[in-house]
Amino acid sequence: MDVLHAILSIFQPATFTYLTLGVLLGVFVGAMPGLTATLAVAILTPLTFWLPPSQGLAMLIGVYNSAIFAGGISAILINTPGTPASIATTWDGYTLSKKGMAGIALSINSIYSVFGGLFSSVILALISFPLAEFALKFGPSEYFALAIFGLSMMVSVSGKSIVKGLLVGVMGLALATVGLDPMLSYPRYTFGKTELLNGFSFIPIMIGLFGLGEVFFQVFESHDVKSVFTRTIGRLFPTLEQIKRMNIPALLSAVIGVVIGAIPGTGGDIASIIAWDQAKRISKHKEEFGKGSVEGLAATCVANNAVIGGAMTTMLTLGLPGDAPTAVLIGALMMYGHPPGPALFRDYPDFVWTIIGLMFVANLVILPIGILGSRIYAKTLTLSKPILWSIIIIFSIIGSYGVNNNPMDLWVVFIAGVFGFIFRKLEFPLGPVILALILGPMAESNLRRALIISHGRWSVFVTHPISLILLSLSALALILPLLRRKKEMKKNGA
Amino acid sequence: MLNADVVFSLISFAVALWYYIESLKFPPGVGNVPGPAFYPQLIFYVWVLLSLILFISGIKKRKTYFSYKLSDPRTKRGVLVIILTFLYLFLWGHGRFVLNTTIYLGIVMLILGEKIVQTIIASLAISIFVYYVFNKLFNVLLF
Repeated sequence: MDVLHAILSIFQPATFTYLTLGVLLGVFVGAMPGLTATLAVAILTPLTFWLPPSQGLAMLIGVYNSAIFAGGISAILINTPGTPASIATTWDGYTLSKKGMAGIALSINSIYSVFGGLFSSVILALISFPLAEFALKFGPSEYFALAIFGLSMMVSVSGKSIVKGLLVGVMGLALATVGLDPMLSYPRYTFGKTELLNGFSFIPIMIGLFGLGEVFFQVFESHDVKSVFTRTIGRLFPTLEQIKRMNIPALLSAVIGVVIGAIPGTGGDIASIIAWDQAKRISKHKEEFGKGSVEGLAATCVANNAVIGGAMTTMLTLGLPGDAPTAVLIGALMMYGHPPGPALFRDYPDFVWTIIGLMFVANLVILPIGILGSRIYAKTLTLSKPILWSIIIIFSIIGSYGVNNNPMDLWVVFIAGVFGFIFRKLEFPLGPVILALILGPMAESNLRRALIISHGRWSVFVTHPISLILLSLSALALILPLLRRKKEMKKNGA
Repeated sequence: MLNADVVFSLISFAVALWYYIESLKFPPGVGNVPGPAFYPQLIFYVWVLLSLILFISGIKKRKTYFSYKLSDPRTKRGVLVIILTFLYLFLWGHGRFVLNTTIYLGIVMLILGEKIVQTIIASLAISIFVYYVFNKLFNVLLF
């Protein structure tokens, strides 16, 4: 009944229209270098605030899926990944494009991105409900351990410097304590201002860090502000022989993408690099990889889109962001009054099925738009940077303000934008801040609840098997990258 | 040239210290119930530790990230865009939204090197589009 209700709601004209609109917007944003799927979802979230949840989410899921796919368009055409998830797409995609096979490369990007998206949607449909049922057994100690496990992923999203990632993450945790204390409702760090009693709104901070901060950074760094691009794309479809060669790497990459996507704090960039490497290992044409291999290209396109279903599974069932865009989607779901987690599956199963259905339909909509629109997308890359940046600035500002109609959010987005720029310049990663803002309140309230229930005994976190396992995994997630880094430094020194 | 990591770690330490001192004003917990200061103080200890590690690694590496010169046109346009954005937000609620936004976007585009005709058309079109989408369609309170 829930499934039937979900299917009916997806095919309502308004929902389907918003989904298609989201897909089209995602294609535009994804193909634009510097504009990420995270940014697109972040900017659109406040825009969808006034829509019914199913329609708003249709737009966001459409944008999320299509932006990842479209990141491959600019990677193929101009050797610049539209989104970080398409970094590995440049390796074979652009080489194919230079050989005059841009049409084939673009259609591989469309077809195999959709395959990756559909594969991961099936996995989402199959495992999310049992996983959520299991998660319903969680108490405060398990939830605290889960939050710590999510926070430990700060290390994996820290990039070059783990210390810097952890430091900005801790600052994010501190920022999340502003407002009423979750247990006793005592105002903390509010300076008597009623606007701060609810804490900082998550969305303006996120838009400021990722959207405004990115524009400020590019304005300071770009030598050439004029972006003009033209290239003919030639023939559109791969041969049957090429399709046969791509099938096995595609299947392998789909599995890799889903698994990596399900790990909190990872993303399409990591998945596509690993998938490309694994596809090369099993290929009979290893020498072609990096020089225009259709297998290599298909592997990256499948993997970065398969990440979405994996990330959505973790996000919906456990409330942990699988990657950066799902971190923003958590904010959107909270905004709609449906916070993700096992309770969502228990209380609103039809809503969950709607999301799963939207994932399927979004990918089906991408296919024709991707293939038929290839020539048009190449044209959109000719938009000049000054106009593009101005559009991002104004949408970031008004989008942040629009969530609550609160003028204070204008200053929050501006200050977050300036900090976003400074952090990027100083090589501080932004991902940990977002993780901390999302998981900080969850960690605090459950830590204190668990300590109250256990009469102040900290052993509660190691006597419960699930929390013990999660805390052990967190410790490993923190220690292993440090050991690996040390090993690499030793190797480089030798 | 400033050693950015060292400067950042010192600022971070100072903010952490202020964060801790503020937490001392919160009421204490009762019995087994941890008070409002409990969690912020836990954060403080980790914050200070990480600031210290960054300070030490900053001294070792001696890396400078900010090498901007005001004579560089890129620095000039970056600073101007930030100042203009500040002014645009400062004047929020005064005048008319479409007019303010058109002027703001127009100046930003010109600073960034866009041609005058494209600037006029784009800034006006974006302002009107944003106004109608947010104000008329989504009921955002614009002025």
